Amino acid sequence: MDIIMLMAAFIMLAGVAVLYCGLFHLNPAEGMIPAVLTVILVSGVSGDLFGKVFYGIIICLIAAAAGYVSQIYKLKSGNVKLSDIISIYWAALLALLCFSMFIYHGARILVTEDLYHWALIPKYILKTGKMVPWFVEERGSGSGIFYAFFLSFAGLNEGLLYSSAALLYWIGLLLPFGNIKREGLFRLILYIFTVYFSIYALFYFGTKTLCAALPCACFAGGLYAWIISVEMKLKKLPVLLSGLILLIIFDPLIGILLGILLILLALLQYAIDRKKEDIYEDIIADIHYEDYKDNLGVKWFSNKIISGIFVAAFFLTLVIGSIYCYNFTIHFKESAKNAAGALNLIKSRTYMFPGAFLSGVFGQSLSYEYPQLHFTFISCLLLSVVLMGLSGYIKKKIDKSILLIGCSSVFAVIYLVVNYHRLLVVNGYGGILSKSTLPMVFSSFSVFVFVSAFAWLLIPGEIRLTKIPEFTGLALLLVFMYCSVNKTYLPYTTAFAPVLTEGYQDIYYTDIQIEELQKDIRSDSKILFIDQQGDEMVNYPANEARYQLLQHVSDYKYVPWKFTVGGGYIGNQIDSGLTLLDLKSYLSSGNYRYVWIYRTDDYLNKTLPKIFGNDSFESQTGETGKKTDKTKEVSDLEKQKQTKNTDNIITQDTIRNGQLYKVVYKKNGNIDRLEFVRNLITYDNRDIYYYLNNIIN
Amino acid sequence: MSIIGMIFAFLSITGIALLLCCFLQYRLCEGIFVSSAFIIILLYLTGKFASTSGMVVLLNAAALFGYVFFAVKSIKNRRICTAESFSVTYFLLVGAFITGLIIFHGDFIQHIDELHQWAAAVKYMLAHNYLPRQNDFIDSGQMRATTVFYYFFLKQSGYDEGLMYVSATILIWIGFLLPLYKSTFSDFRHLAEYMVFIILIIFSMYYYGIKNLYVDVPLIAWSSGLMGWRMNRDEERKIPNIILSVSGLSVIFLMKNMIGAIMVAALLLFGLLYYMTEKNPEGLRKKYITILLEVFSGLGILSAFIVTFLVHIALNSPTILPKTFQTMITLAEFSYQKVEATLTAYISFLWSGDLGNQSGLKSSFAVVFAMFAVLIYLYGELCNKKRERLVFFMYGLFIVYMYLLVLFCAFIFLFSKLESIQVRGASRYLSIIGIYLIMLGIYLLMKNTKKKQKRISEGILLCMILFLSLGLSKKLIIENTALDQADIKMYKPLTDTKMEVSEIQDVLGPEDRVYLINQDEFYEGSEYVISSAVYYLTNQVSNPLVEPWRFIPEGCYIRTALTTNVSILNLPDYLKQGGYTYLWIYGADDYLSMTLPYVFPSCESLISDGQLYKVIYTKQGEIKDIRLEKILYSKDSR
Repeated sequence: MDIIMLMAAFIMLAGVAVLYCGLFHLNPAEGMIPAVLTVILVSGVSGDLFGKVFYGIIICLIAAAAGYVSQIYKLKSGNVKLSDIISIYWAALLALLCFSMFIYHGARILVTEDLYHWALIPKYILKTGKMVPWFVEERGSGSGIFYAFFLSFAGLNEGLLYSSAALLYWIGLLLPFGNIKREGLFRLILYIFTVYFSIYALFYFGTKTLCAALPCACFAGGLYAWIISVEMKLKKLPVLLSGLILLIIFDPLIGILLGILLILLALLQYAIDRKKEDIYEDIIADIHYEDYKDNLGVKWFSNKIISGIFVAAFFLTLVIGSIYCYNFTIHFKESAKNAAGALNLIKSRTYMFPGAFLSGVFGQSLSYEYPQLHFTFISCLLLSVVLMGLSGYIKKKIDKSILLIGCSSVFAVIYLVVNYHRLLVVNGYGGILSKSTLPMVFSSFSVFVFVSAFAWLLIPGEIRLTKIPEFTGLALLLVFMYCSVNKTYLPYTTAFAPVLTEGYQDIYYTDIQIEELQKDIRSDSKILFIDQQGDEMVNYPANEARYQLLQHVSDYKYVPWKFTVGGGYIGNQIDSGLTLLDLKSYLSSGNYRYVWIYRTDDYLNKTLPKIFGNDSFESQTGETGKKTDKTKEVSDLEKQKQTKNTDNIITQDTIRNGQLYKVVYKKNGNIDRLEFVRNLITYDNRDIYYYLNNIIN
Repeated sequence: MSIIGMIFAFLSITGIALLLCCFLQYRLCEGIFVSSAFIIILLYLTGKFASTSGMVVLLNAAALFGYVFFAVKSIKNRRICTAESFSVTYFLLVGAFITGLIIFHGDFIQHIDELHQWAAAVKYMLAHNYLPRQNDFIDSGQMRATTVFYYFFLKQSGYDEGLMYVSATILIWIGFLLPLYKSTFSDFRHLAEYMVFIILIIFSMYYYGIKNLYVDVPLIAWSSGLMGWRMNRDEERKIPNIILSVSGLSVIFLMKNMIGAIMVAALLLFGLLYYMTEKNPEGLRKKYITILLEVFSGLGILSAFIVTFLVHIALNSPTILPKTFQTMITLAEFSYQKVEATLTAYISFLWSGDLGNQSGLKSSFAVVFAMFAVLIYLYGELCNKKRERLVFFMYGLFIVYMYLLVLFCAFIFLFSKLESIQVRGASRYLSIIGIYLIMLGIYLLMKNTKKKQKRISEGILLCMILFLSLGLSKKLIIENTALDQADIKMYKPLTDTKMEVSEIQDVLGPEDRVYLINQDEFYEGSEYVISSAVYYLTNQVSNPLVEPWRFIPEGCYIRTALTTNVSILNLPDYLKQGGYTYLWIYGADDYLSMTLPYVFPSCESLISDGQLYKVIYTKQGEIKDIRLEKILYSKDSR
């Protein structure tokens, strides 16, 4: 059922695209770009202003209906033939959507980034009907709104979430192939397969991801190849503009950087097309390179103008980059104000930083560790540059290939410089060593530059005399399949065999515990999550708990979730000033009703009873003991309470993995003690005995 | 200050080059090649017999003279200082020098053979101003062409470990850039691609990458550079060409024992073949190829026969052989099992052993040879030189065959049994011939000056770069520059030893000697510990090649071998023999802390990592006891 509803959403999106095609005389792929923007903007704005995304959907529905009606009208009047409307592009997109629905059927979210951020946006929108605040954490939420639009038809379903994500990036990737005809079908298929396999080798999370960096890179790549292959005219402006806006709302920083490059490219392209419009027609395939080199006037455009624009772009980007860095610095300084000597620490880190960054540029594998061959930032850039040069040579458009190569390589440097400063300020030396920081930064650019080079190579042009693009494409397909296809490919990029992924077990048992938790707690009470054995960098349980329980559970990025002798962890940073004693203040300030110990260790076993258990219990018994001496009127009721309390009291031996405690407040609002509620099923007590015990209790 | 000295040394090489350019009509890069060859030969000869510091001054004076002469000549004749003599290649060399100064800034010696061999020899020469001699240097049987070149730089800059690597880079690039001495600014892109290709190929096919003081990479660079230069040289000049060839060949000969001589022979053979392919008229060609084939196969069969014969005699009746050869094979523990095991290991290494260590792509010698074959094939197809292709392919096959045969003989006759069965160092020896062959293919393709063929060679270079770049890993920066030091493999043992050494040096007087014991189980790390101790303390520390450095219940370790007839009870004898006044325990273990109190009663069982003990002698010169002198910065207290 939900699959059919998702199809309905797709048909609606297509309707909006058809409307744009009719309005601006675009091909379907170009029409899809403003359609995506419209869907995102309308539902986002209506969610923001009226508090209901639903109105936005109604508007989209009307627009789609208008699009279809106008098409039918045109068909009747004979302006458009049916064969024009039913193009290969639609078939390809539909096939990709069906394919992704098949491979993601019943998929679970198994990536921490998705759990913590990207899947949370559509979930929030669907639950509340409201928009999330714009530009959440400076990471953009545009893709989240798009997923929410689809899921508002189909209902919340993690598999379909991934399908809609796949649809989004394929829309960007197929942009240059809107005009494809029967004879270009083989190239399109080749393109789809090669890019599909390349993403696993070039993008950190592979194809199964909700991360907005992938659609951003794919849209930018598609736009880049599209700009270089079409003739720049004024009526193409809506596509370009909406593409640029999409980039920015997907991923603000990278979007702005790539947007500048695209504008620059479009301007140069426009200038070339104006100047050299008529010369292309004279070129026949067998004219020697030397002859048309002068004809096209490579010299004209490779001197002052191009260098001037590059210098301007460089400075512009530096300015924007430094503004970003400045913002980050302020943000960072505020958070680090309390930690003593934090700034000195940064200084000592910066000494090691350039080397680590450089070795990342040259040697950091872009993907997970799983592919056999590792592509790095430099090798991917090299490959793309060679592809660009090759397609310029084949298509007899040396000037355009020089333009592309120049733009891409200059831009690669700018991109690295800006990101170098950003990482230096935000992450520092310690952060850069974490597994995913550098690949995430490099892989969006790598996907972008590879897609643009490869798409331009395969776009059928006017002159098609050689089979070299096909051969190159096949060779690349082999290379990328050799890189990607192995045991890890299915578990990480499809819904099949999730057991083999890294985080599956953690997430599975977290889910079971959450199910049990919800029997005890009231719907409005909050839980504080503690996981003493959690990994600082990749913490699956904390993320899964946050995804499932939303605001009912403590956010591990702002509330301590792990305590050691050296201090407490907030996010993945250790704060040496934080001890278990501070837990009380966190509990009372956040108004938490429960404490959920997912996993414990010796440190917690020893210290937690000292703070919450024995002391308070002893003082209580002392008081009551005096009472009994004095008055002798010992109520049986109180005695019973007392004995019950001793059962529930925390001691060193009773704490174990997977427990829920209730926070008992005093009348004045201070915390009195922790009260044992129940044992939860964990990985080590998962046998039926414990389970039955739990049910009986 | 030290960087200024470095620049000064570089300028003095340029000065001598200018002098040569004025007299012998060299281009500047040829001049640089010849001038560094002269520097090496002159310093080598003087270093053998007398102090070299005077020669350094003399060479600098010659450089000064060169500048003056060049200035005078260029005032007379303006044409000299145009771009013709200053080709773009020189500027790339300067670029490589400056880049080296930046990326090797603050680096330290970090490879095992550098610690007890190559860097140690430079340090020795800086202290004594002559070449290492038999009695006071660990291993003085090596050829020292590279050492004197590094010495020339460091003499003027002062001792600095990072700058040693800079001078090594200069030596490599002087060799590799020689074939392109004619390049103009329009070839800049081509040259840049060539340099990237060189860096990548050494990164993927040589064990230590491009940053090292070993002689292998300079040997590759100079021999392949000379080969490439032979293809592009200016035939009109006679004497300058002869001077360049002879000086280059003699430096190659002086670079490495035996292999230097083999490379010289290979280069001479190449020169001969190249001369014949260029000069012979068309008709003779086919007959000549047959003759060549016959000669090569005859020599090959003959040499294989000789080797078999030699092995046979050495196995069955070694008494016929000359005396020196007999002692040699007894030292090498020669036996039938050794030959068999070595042959198996050798062949499997040729087929599947990785020549590099840092790249993600594993390239065995078989793959490298296949790459050479493909390049030669492309040369024939694309440049339309099918007969030359055959000649050069035969040449490649022949020298590889001879080289492998000689290497095999060296393994069975010269190396110890353990080393020979492991074919230790084979990857480095095979890199030399492998990269040399690939460079032969590349130079043949690059030779053509026609525009279309230039594009083809550029394309092939790009394809090679693309292919090799698939193996890029983080080691490119970590192991080849000083930028990301903390991640290098042996960072911890090396820095820990250095710190403890500096603390020991505070205590040590000029007459004192210290005995090193390291009980750590981590074998590779402890090899680095003892080597770097020897490097920094030179004569003041015990020599792990002859004295035990690790004690276990079964015996002790001397060098890398277990010796069973020496136990910890013999320690006082060793201390007394060498006149040691201190005992340095770098790493302790349970065995040492249990047994040492038996040997020295008063030291009790407080023995732990990083301790320095004073050895107390009686008046008669007998060893009485040891007492704890100092607790060093140890690796646990970090």
